[in-house]
Amino acid sequence: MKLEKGSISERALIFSVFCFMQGTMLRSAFIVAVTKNDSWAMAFTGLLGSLLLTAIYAALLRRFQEKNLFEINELVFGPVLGKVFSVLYLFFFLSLAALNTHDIGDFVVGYMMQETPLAAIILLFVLICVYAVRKGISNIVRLSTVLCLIAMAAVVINTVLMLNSMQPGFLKPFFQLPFGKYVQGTVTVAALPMGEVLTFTMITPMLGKNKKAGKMMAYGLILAAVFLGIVLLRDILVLGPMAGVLRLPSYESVRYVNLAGILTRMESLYGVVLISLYVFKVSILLYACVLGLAQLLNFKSYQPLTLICGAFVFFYSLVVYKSVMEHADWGATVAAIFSLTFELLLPSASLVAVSIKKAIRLRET
Amino acid sequence: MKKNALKAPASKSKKEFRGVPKPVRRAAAALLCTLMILSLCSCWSRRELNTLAIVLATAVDEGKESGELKVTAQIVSPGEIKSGPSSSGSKASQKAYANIDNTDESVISALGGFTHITNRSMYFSHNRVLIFSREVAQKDILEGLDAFTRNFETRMNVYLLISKDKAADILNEEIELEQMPANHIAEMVEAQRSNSETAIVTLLDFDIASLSGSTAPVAPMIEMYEVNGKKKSRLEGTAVFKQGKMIGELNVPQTRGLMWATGKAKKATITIDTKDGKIDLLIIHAKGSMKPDKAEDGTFRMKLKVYAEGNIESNETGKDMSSVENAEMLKKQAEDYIRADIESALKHAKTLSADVFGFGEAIHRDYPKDWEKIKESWDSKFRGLMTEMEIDVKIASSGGLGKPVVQGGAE
Amino acid sequence: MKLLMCLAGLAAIAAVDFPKIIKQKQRRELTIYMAIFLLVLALAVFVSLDTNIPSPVKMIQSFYRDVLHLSFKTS
Repeated sequence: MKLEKGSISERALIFSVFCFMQGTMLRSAFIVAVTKNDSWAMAFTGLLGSLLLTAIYAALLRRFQEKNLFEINELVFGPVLGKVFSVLYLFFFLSLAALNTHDIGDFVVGYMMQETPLAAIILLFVLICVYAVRKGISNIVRLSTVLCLIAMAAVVINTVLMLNSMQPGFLKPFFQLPFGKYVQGTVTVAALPMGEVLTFTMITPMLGKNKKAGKMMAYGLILAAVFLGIVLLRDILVLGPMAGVLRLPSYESVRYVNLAGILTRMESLYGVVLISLYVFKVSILLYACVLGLAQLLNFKSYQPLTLICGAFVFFYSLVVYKSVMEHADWGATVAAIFSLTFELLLPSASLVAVSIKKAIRLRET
Repeated sequence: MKKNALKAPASKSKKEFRGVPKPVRRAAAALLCTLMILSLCSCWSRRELNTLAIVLATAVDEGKESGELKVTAQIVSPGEIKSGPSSSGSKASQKAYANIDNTDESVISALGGFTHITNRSMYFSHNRVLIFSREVAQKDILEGLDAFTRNFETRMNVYLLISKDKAADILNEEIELEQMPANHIAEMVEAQRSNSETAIVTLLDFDIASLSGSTAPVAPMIEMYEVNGKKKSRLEGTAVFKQGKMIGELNVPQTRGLMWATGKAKKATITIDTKDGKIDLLIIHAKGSMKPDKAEDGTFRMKLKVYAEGNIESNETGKDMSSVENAEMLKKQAEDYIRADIESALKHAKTLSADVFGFGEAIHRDYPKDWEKIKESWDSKFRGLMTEMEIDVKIASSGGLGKPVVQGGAE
Repeated sequence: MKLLMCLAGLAAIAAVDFPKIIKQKQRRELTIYMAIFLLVLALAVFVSLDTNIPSPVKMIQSFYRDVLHLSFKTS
């Protein structure tokens, strides 16, 4: 059933996926702390991993045209078990929304306005996202085209401005760390920024022609990986070994820009772009939550649930961490695996179940 | 339900919009605007300009008692800044800056203690220069630097300087061209690019060198001297650090050698002493590279390559330097000059056992597996490191004059 | 103080959403909405009173790390 009357174009899907991933420029500290000066390669190996995930999603979506994730669950596993799976996915999306909201609130409070209570910033943020969700998915996705251009321009401009502070020697020595670190880096990149493309499986029915959904997601991921690689490369070249030590390497490297004493303090530009990207990301996550909840409870429209879901995400995100150190600990240890269970394990289970069903049906006839 | 006094279609669609009557919409819009005004000016963490003390330069000295640090901050008083250089007639006017200091156990407690003294809160985002005195540098500079790296307001492109005497005195310099010593010092550091006799070190460079296990960080030294009763400052020499403590100095020719070897020298002036007089060469481009070279028995040699291109700037010999053999002779002498500088720097660095050039890092980058084996004993290996130098000076032109202007030169 | 603000916020949410649901006369949806609303109300009260709510994220982390032994080591 379609609870949403909007529709999105294919190009908008590509840009949406891109904007969704670019927000994770903020969390690049996890990857850089692990793989240090080879982090730029992780962007590409992570891309390969996430393309695998996208293939699974595309296979699922292809078999069930114009159905989103929750509907697929019910069709594959039957009403009861399917709802159980859907509840698990819903918990995942809610957690993601809360974690990301806390991230951006932490950034604003920690770096810019230290005395403001976190709740005030998060409240404003959640209000915007709730408003966006109420207006409908096609409006949110329409935002992504402009945002994508702005984000790309910001990355390119900052990189060009930093060219004279870069020292190519920082990239060496190549690939000297123990192999386990590269596995960890690849899995982290594949699961954390890129695997969250799972959220888009909730939205793909809006495309209309569902066949190409997987391809669009893949294009968006490739674009995002290229830019993530550029950002990581730039940070490593400018900051060298400090990139693994600083909490926000991209922010600090943008701060270093100093062109003839005139173009300085570009980090405000960076901050604005980052906050916009996070608004987009949390809006889409919130939309997925609300839509999913409405489908689970067989509501006729998701509108009444937006505010209450937003309130839940607001309180959840306040509770989620007590300090930045806990956040870093979570990101370095369990975050990728937690994401992977929902991005890899459950969809593969669905795919396997579908194949088994098909095999049984073929055998019967 | 709908009261349509005017049947015109425009007003009909405007009176009610999705079932919300017009006054309600107006009230909602007003509420939204109020909310935005309240939230966009972010009054919670507001910082008004007249409550900020904008710090332009910071100096850290030893306090009177041991274990204490005195932090001096140079704050700009915006009302006193005039657009031109202050003339001698305006001696009666106020200075455009104020130096305030505070002594406490650590850098951060000293900075925090400023709130007891001044009415404004310190704002470090415009801090351009960070000066540590030699005593503090000899004890431990990394403790003091940690506060500045971790803080969100300070930037990593702050210039780092070590003062030979008291750091606070540097901030009290009397200068005619600038209104504030901090700007003068910061721009002086930047202007060192044109003479390549001083290292230009930012906080980021220092931190990167400290993070490496083998490189010895360096920082330029600044000292005060008196001329005509006025105190001025001068950049001279480089301080060498190891494990966060200052262990030695490089004098000016050694610093020059360091700059040539690491490829940081861009513009320089070389004075060549020939038997007839002095000739000055102005080097316009310079490139330096170092590559480790592994011999068969596993020992390393460093290959240093310096390429410099310059013009004859002044010729005091009276001889014609634009002839080809003289140009060859000049080239050889310039190369020897550079070689002597680098060798003196190498020798001094070896006596200090401090790898200021970054040879260890170069080996680590190109031969990481071998580096793992030798990094423990790098100190002794550095002392015995062999270097090969390849120096190439190209004299591109002899300036505006071909033959020199001497008495009877036209005949 | 915080409690008052939370309650005011939730009351505002109720004021916006309830009329619509009541107008549409969907009994089932109304009950479900009430249930979710009460849940969020309870959460709001606990958060605003600064009680130490165990974060689900921490529970997930201990679950994965200790029970399943599936975590990366911190370097």
